[in-house]
Amino acid sequence: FELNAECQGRRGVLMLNGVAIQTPCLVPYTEEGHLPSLTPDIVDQLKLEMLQVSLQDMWPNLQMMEKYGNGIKKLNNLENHLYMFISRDPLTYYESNKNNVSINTKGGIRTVSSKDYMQLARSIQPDIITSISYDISWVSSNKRKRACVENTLKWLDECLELKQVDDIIFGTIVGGSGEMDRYYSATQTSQRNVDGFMFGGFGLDEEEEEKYRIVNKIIENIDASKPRAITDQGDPVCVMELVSHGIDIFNLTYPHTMSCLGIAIVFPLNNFDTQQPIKLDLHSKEYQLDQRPLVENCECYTCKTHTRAYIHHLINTHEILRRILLEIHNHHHYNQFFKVMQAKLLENTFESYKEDFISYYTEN
Amino acid sequence: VGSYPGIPTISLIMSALTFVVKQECGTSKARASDLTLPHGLVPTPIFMPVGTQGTIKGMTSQQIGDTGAPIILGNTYHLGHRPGPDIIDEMGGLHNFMNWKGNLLTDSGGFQMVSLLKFANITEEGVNFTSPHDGTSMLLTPEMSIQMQNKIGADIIMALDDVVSSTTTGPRVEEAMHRTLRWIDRCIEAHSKPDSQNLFGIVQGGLDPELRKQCLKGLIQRDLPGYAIGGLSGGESKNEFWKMVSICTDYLPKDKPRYLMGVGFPVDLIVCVALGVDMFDCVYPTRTARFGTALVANGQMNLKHKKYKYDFSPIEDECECIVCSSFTRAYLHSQAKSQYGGQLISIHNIAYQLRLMRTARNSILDGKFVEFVKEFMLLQFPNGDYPDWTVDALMSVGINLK
Repeated sequence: FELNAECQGRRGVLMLNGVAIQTPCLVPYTEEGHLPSLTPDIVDQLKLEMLQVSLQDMWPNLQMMEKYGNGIKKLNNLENHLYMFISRDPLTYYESNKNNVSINTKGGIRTVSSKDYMQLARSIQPDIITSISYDISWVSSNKRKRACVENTLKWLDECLELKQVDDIIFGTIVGGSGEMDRYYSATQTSQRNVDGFMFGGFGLDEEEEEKYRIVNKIIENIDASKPRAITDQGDPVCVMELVSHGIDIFNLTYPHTMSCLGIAIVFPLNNFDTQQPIKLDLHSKEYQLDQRPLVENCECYTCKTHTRAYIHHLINTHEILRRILLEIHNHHHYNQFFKVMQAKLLENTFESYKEDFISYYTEN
Repeated sequence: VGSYPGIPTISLIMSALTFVVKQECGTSKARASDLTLPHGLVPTPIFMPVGTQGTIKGMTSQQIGDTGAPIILGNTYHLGHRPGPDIIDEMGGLHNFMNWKGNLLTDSGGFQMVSLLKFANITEEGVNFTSPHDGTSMLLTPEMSIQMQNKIGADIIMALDDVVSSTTTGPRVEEAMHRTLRWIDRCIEAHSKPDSQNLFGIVQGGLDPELRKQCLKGLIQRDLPGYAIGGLSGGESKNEFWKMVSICTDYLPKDKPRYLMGVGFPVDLIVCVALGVDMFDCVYPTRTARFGTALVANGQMNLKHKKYKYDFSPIEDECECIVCSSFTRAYLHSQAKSQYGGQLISIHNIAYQLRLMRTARNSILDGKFVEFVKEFMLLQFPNGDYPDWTVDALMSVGINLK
């Protein structure tokens, strides 16, 4: 992991198994390793670099993955992509069950140990393995926070024991809202032989202020030379703030969630004109005759091929294609957003870019 | 058997297509032809995927194009409600609206008469629908259907016919047949774009050969660019089904395309090609895909079945679709109950149907159609337990399965 700029926010290059990706980078939410509604021929056009694959999705497929033997990339025909194996799926919530994690799979509730987790990781063959953890609310009791921290550390050690020579393992840092818990989790995790850090337990019920305060707390207590990943919902302002604070890898649900809601993400990436909307709700009848693409000059398949009017029609008629077209555009747009942030960081203009964006966003 | 001698055919209508029979099967009534429409060449026999609401469920226009489909369907009844003909017109027609550069065919909206019958009341004027969406009333006349289809802008449009269910008997069937002929004249009159849109008439007459012949005679007199065989693929027995198809193909002019509406399953397609049909449409391949079933050479593959859980071969080795070249049955099994699995299997199933028709066409061109049919039927029924109707139908055109 090479840092090319460190001001407010960091600009880096992450080398994984011979592939270089630029950070800060977008790692979108997937279902069983594929982007929801998008087939590989479509995903390849999006030029995403790394995708999420989660415990909850893949657990029912363990036996099949082991017999298959070729890993998640070939399984999904997405061999040009890197994969980050995460325990906690950003759209669902795990609990602990004594010494294990309790997850809700499509086959029912299952209990997973760190050993099971690594066995699954082995069959998936991801590029990054984040250590197993679970979720606690930000208003949990101290006892629960402490237990989460201790369990997670114990499981990290167990994962590291099962580490093979080429594995890249990120330690997951937890502790909810507790400054001491987070401090402890961060310092202890930092002492282990981890390749990076996963900031766990975010995108839940935290207040905005405490999110950034806790992120800072963690950062103060970990090795700055290692990459930092976070799982969060990831609206644009939050993303920019987290970039400012120094996060490198963003596992986000935002483009997918917006697509599910029938929303197109259209905020300008430069020249913030308050006349330009942030999002379009394509349910609205105002788009019935709108022959423009979602975003003028957008290079994605949806904008090069279709109009707002057509997408509105698809939403009105509940057609599957509405999902496909919105997922394509929203992921493309958000990925472009990350690329612009990467450029601004390198030029050292990120802070003013962020300020301009936030004032545009709040006005809108 | 052939067209009606002594009855002058007067060209009452322009044609925006050319249809050239390249090769006939020497034995059966099958033929391989080139149908050229305003949006390009359609080699027949052809299967037309159905995109009811201006989209084929779960596929992008690019993906449909990549399967090689030269023509797809839109449904006037549905599009007439949402988004409505005026919006489509303002968008420059359905081609532009959905950005489909190939050919389009729209039906008249009449089939919904049969499928939504409890909401429909048919008079000489037209069909009165009560919308299941919101309870409002809509009158569909031949003029309105054609006007809507003119706005939608498909390369082939269908006349509004008085469709009766194939299980209906009695005077209603005859009434419907005669009305269909009266309505075809109203359709011809109302059609404002004969230079770019081809109006096909639809042969009705239920399961009564004499009524069918009367209808055929009347439609052929109108010298339309092409003809469809309607009122079948409902609840009738297959035995009656094939006989009606065959009567129609006996009388329909050879130099015009013949379209059998709502068919169908692969076996039905092949038998009806042998009976002389050129064009087919059916929701079956995409619908069955959404239930986890793939179409394969020897029938169907229910990918939800646990026997595929660890099967790492593709659906079909010989299939060149993007699904067969990238995914295993095991993977599809794990996805078979999800929307994504339905999308993937749909892509395969459409590719399968198109390849089936392409193979049939090539066999006709190579003079090997009879062998092709026998091989195909043996793959579908390896124990030689062919359904009686297929044996009878194929025998009637000189193909002896036994």
